[in-house]
Amino acid sequence: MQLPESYVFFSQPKINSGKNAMEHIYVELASMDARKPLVLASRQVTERGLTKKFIKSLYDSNVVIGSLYDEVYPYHYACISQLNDLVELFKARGCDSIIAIGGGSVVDLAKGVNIAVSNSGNIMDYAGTNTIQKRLKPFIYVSTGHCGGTETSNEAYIENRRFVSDFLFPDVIILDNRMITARTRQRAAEASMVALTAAIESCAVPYNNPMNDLYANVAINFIYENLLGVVKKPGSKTGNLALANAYAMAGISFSNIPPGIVYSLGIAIARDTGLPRGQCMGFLLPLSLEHRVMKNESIRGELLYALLGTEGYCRVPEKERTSTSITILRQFVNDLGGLLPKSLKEMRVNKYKFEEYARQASEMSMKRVTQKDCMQLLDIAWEGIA
Amino acid sequence: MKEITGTSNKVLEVDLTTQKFSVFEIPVKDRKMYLGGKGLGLKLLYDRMPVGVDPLGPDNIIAFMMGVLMGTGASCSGRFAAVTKSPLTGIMSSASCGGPFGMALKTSGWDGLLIKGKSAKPVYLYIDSKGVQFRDAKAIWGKEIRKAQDVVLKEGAGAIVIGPAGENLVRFANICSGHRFLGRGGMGAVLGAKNLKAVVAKGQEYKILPANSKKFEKTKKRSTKYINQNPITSNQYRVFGTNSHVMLSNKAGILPVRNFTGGSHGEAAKVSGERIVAKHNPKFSTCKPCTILCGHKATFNGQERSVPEFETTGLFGPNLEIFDPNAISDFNEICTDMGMDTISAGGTIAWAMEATEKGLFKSDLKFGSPKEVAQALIDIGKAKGIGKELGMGSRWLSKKYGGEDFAMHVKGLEIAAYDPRGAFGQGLSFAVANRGGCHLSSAFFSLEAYLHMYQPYTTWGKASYTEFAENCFDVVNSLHICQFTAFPVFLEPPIIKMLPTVVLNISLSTMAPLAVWFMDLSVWSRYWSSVTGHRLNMWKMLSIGKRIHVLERYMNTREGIARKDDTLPGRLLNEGRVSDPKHRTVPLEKMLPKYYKVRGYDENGIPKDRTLKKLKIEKK
Amino acid sequence: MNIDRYPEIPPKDKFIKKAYVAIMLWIVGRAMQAASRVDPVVKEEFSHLRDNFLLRLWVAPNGPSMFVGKDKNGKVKYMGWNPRGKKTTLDMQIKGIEQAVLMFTFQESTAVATSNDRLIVSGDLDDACAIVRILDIVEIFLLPKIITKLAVKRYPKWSQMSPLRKYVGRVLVYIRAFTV
Repeated sequence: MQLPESYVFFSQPKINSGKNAMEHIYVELASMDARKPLVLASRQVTERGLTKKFIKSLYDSNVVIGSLYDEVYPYHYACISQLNDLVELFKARGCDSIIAIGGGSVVDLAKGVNIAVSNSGNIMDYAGTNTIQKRLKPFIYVSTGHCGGTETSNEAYIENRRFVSDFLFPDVIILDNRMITARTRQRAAEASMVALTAAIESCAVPYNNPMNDLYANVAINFIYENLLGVVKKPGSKTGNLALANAYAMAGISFSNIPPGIVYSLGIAIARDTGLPRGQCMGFLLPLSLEHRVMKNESIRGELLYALLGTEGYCRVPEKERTSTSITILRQFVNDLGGLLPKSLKEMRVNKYKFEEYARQASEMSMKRVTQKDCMQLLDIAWEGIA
Repeated sequence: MKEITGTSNKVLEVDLTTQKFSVFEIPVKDRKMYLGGKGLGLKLLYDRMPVGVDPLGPDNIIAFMMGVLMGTGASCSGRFAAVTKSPLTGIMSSASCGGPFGMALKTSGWDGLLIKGKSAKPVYLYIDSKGVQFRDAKAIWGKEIRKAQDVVLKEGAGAIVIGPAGENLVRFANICSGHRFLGRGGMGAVLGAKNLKAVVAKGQEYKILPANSKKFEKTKKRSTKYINQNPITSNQYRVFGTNSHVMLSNKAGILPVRNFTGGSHGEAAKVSGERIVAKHNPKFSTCKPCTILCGHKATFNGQERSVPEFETTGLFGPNLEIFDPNAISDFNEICTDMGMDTISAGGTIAWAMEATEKGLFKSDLKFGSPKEVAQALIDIGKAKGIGKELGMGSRWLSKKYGGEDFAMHVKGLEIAAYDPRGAFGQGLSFAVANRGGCHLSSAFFSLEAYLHMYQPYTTWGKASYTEFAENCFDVVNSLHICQFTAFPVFLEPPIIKMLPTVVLNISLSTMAPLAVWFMDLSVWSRYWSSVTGHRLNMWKMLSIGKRIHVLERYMNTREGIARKDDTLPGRLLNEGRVSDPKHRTVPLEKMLPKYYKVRGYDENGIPKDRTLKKLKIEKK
Repeated sequence: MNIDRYPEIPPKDKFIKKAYVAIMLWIVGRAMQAASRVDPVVKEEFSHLRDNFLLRLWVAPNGPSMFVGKDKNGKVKYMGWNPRGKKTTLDMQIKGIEQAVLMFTFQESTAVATSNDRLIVSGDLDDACAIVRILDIVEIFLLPKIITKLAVKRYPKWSQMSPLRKYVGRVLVYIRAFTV
């Protein structure tokens, strides 16, 4: 492995995975000088009986739950009216920390509340990259398995606007096997595709960042080895826990680079069509790598290493590593069968909107991705990977 | 004058790019399968338009279809339909309109008009029995609707015209015919994108005669009798217009207040139809021919103007916390001049007000302040300043700026002025309506909140009635006749009239399919068969309604519509009304699967192959 | 928003688990005292510890605890559960009652628990290691092989601990722990 001339890597969260991980929450809170968290969850989480398990895990500790709000709307982002209500609740109860159980909008909302209670003024003024200048309140994320795929990253979506700041990392990520329960195959596949996209795009950049590669490699490997098993048997405990770990790591490695072409396009398409992000990203991923090879851009062999491990990696000659890894990835997405669409045509995306998607994606990736590339990729993706 | 018996069966197809036109005839089979009007328009578009065309591009086709009743003098038949792919929603949109254009085109000998392509410079069309002339629209381009209409109407009996909003591609621009509008779905922008300012029809060249005049006269007599008997059509609408809904809605808690946060308001009486009758001196001003006479003119701010319809009043009034009929009339006039749909404009402005309040959007709009609204409407029409973005509709705005939970639209089309949290069936109907948040697809609110034939806060029987009413109204829009005639047809037959409300309530909720037996839908089927001379009974007619509805749904699913789109704005699903102490929300998830089952859709809301085959819709 | 719909939730007590762990701690404490008198290896380990040595093994944040230390004469003694007036030199804290139950129902050995981040130790690490070794031996005395195997890192072979020493020690430890 080469040492790059310079690199930056930041990871805030402490990951606590496995049996009885939730029982560590009060110690973590105490270490951050907090003892009254505001707990957020969606109604679905309560219906699955997970909030009850969470409350029980805090028995016999000093932690008083300031309030348990389990009516977070199941959107793709946090909603400002709810956010304002929660800020009020947070202040009225004198809470000093935030715990989010679940994923997707719950985490976005928790991050939003955290920005609002730690900063003054209108929260929308903090939209954008690195606009938050102050450390926020302690924030613990309790995963419930397949949700958004990038909850552990440093981004939050509030009312459709992207907030990015290193202070938005969760302080602690709890991956407790009681909380990570079976979901539908569809959900598993979609969340995994988002995480896989985040991980691959963060390690397939031309410049290497050794720490980022490590996180991304673990994420890719966990997803590659466990997703098919979980899809076959959605109740698999170890499989689900491994995937939850993969999401956590993908989120962290994704936070250290600007979003890539697939991630940005996926978000743009999902926002317009209302389809889940994972569905949009799944088949775009191998296509984007192929598109890059077509443009004579190199893709580092580490991707193959992440997919196959040491033995498989060594067996493939150096020249073939890129093509082999793309083939494997393509096969992998194809193996998911009917769970994910295989082309934009199949998704019934309108062709006349491509330009708009390309523009949005380019904007989101801070012009790192050009509109022209996006258009080319979208044109390829029209026919898809079938 | 020459005569046409039944229908001329000739449709004009105009290509603006090449400035050529052709005439084609519709096979009898299609006529029998789709009746005419909206149904036939959809079928023609289904055959001609590929999937995924840009609504504002040259490939989009807009069809103006006259039904078979137009020109025959059947009661309330002065209406025509338009079908196109909507730039606001990106899916099929259909609209119904009164006014003189329909009659003029039909009496020029044409059953329909399809327009495609894009003209290089602004033009307008002149149509007579010989065909189409392409004329330069330089003189009227940029002019407000009424001024432009005055110019073109010198050449013919009827015209459709777009305003500056249509020219500026405001996504909810409408098309005007006389003083009625093809309101919803942004059809004005479709014409604007084609550089087509107006279509004039010479008219009065042919006389339309029914094939079986004896049967026709008999049916007309019965229909007129029903209309004159029914208290809604003969009294409520005739005297107070559609604004009679204000107090009914307020009482039932389904009036939109402050961007759908409250269901009723203490000051609602100030904008009610009763108050307008008492203070503004209204006179009739209706479509021709009409028996109901719901349209009125009255004096506002010292001028004689059209009385705003209920949707306009509701969405520009209580929904913006404005309770001044004069101000609402001002907004209505601006929308008329600019050529904009008042429902979508009202919904979009309400979104902008709330988003501004919450810091998501920058504007000077605020609830209860009419001055800024008037300015914003002008800006939208002229695509100036914030108007440029407001003209994209609330879906586009909320996707860009956030606030999707209070952007009150379904599939991009802003919902009309009925709060479905006080009428669950209307909630389902909004969610599954083909063109988006449309109140006319089943008009369930009237049965739930006004007539109390259904319990508003239950889900019983809602799916089946929604399906039934949608089929009926697709038939109504294909004949083409006024939708208000459904009240007398549904309610006047003796069984329904005699049954006590409680019994009716229970029987409709539990045995909805049987309710059809109580109603006298044969008025409509007899109208069609007497004019065309083909046989049609009411059962077959209902199955045609079903075919039209499923065809439209199928066309929409090809554009990407699925269960994910059959939803309501977050506010209606998650937040209760301020006026409702129980904070009830629409239990949509409970009703949707039942509706899909009744309709023959799969669980993702896509018509099953079996359903399509049964309805003889060719899969593409 | 109606704030009262989302009330505060104070934590409840896990009384039975706490009682179980308290009893186990009492037994272990007494047994350590007994073993220090009976078994030469334990005696040896304790002799290396400082004179004012006082161990507190407890369950955070307010669970049961146990004190074992040297008294004025240098003899190892179980010193009850009450922390008042005691100055500990080695504080071993089990993070929570659930973790303690895992340990005292022998689902996790001391070593595994440490690696799973269930213990917080403040004090001399040498002392802590010695205590872990002592705990292992005490467990060997107290419990039959089938259970002890789960709880200790390595169960001693015959060559390491003669059966004679084990069985005699076990009897003596039990007698001393429950009588004196």
